[in-house]
Amino acid sequence: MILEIKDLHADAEQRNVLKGLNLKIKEGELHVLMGPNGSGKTTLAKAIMGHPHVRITGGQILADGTLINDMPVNERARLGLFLQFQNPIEIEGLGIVSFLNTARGSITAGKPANYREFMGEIKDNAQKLKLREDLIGRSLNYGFSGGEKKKMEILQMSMLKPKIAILDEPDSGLDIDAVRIVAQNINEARKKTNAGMLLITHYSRILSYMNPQFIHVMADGKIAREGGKELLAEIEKGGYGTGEDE
Amino acid sequence: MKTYKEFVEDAIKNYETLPIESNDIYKKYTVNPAFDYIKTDEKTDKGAHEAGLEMISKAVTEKTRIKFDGVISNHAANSFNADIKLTSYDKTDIKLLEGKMFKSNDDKLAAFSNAHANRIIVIDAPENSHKKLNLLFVSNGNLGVQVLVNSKKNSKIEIFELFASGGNSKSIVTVLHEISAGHNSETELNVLHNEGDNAHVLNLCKAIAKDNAKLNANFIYSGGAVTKTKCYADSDGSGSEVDINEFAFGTGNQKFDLGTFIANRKPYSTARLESGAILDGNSHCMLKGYAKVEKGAKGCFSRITERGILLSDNAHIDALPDMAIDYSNEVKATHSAATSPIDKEALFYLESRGLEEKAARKAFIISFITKYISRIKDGVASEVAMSVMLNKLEGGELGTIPEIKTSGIWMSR
Repeated sequence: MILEIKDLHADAEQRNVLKGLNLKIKEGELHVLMGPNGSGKTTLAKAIMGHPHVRITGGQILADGTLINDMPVNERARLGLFLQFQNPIEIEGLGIVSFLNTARGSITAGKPANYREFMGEIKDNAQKLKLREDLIGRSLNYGFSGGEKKKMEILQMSMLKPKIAILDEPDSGLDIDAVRIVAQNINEARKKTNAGMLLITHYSRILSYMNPQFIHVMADGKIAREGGKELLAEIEKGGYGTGEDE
Repeated sequence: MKTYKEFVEDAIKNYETLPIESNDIYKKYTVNPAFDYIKTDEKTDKGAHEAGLEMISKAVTEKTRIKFDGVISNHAANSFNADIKLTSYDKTDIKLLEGKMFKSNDDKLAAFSNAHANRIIVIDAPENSHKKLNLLFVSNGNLGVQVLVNSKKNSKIEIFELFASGGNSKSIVTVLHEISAGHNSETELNVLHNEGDNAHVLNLCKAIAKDNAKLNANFIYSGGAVTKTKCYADSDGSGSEVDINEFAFGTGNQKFDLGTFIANRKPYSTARLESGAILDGNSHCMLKGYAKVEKGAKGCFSRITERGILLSDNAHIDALPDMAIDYSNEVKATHSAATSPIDKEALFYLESRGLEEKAARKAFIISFITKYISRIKDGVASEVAMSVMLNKLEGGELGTIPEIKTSGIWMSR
């Protein structure tokens, strides 16, 4: 899949947040999106996935050349888009296994999963993420710590095998070891599925375990700087350099 | 000692004179069933009714895969288990009636039940015993039953009661429970009301947990036009634990008035009330939880949680948690109430994982229902309750017993 964003303008909470953003992500590529708070990173992630509170006022979001600006959220997921939420929702009473089974069935429109194989796959992913096994038997994110929620998002990504994943701060709130584990699992998912990824982060630590090809810095609703891995060192040293209050 | 006739006459007198609710707030928030009770004719062919009951029992057993230990209708009653003693009300030992917890002169609704009950079911759990009983209640007219449970020291008992009825016009189903949970006993009572859409349901309960006793009562309401409940549960022993969970799923013009009073009377006791409702159409539910912490209940814990989800603009929930604490130190007491439509962020989350909007709404609704059903520890009762809820969610007829579908329900506990 090629996800292409052309001159995107969008409002969120009655404020013009995205002001002409351009970005192109292909399968297999790892893009990193950085930028000051309030620059529009999460709004972009939500716009790509079709959040009802983000109103696109101009420009295009294209998936393999198809305009998806008005496409229902679930259809975007079925195309192969995945959003890892910065603040995952807790739903008490919705069993994780049942939810993942329904989600995978919805995306692949395939036969119902073999329960034993499906459970094995979930447990395998949970082990790799060092996620306590008893959490799998519980309600979705209910009573989870911040770190457990982030790991559960990555587990979902591994199970749903998207073509392009938007990862909105997978490292925020994680301890040093958890950042490494999450990064390793993102790498593994990429390797397995050749998914393209847009990783939104404020910290370079997670990137030390990864090999991003493209770094984008966002400011005031659009891409202000772009480059390769060398841009990270510049940002570490001199800040985003966008002229905005960081 | 009073005669049975005098007992009933007193009950009728009290029913006519007692105020139905004394609290001003509760006066405002009250729904009452239509108490135009018509005495059913008991002189019909009892043999034919018992044969009919057996057929119903077989049919329901096939659908639910549950063996019922007792089947009770408005016309006849069969007990298939010696642990369940069935008696018609007028043949009951008057001493039993005199010793009842729910007195006719204390409560108008209890007076109504005492005056009109046709069956008394006595369940004794002897010391150190472990019992599991399933009861089926079916009716095509007025049904009045009283279930008296006596759990002795160190006993364990699980009771599942399933209520179903046809769409008889304004039939009244009156159920009164009295539970005495003895020292170190464990009692689980699961009651599922799935009457027809014209039934008026009155559910009364008085329960007492003695030292270190655990009492868990789950009341699930799905059927009936009007449901009114009044439940008193006392943590009346040191270290006792009382958990009351009640849940209503309302559609159409259904009305639910759920009133539950929990009390901590002794040190280190626990009393928890979880009330929930999910409403569609023009349905209305009142959640009235009241907690009392008495002086001397040192180190106790009391909690009321009321949650509601509204699926339509015309559905309405009144959540009224209330609490009174006589002992102010070393007491943990909380109450909370929240009502909202389906969370749009939650829907977006589910849709982002591939679920269509309709499927996402359904998943959210089922998750809310599951939250309450999963508190039922008895697997059989929780499966039946979930199937009844799913049947209703799919627009199924009230009162009927759906096939139990476990495939596809991977419940979270």
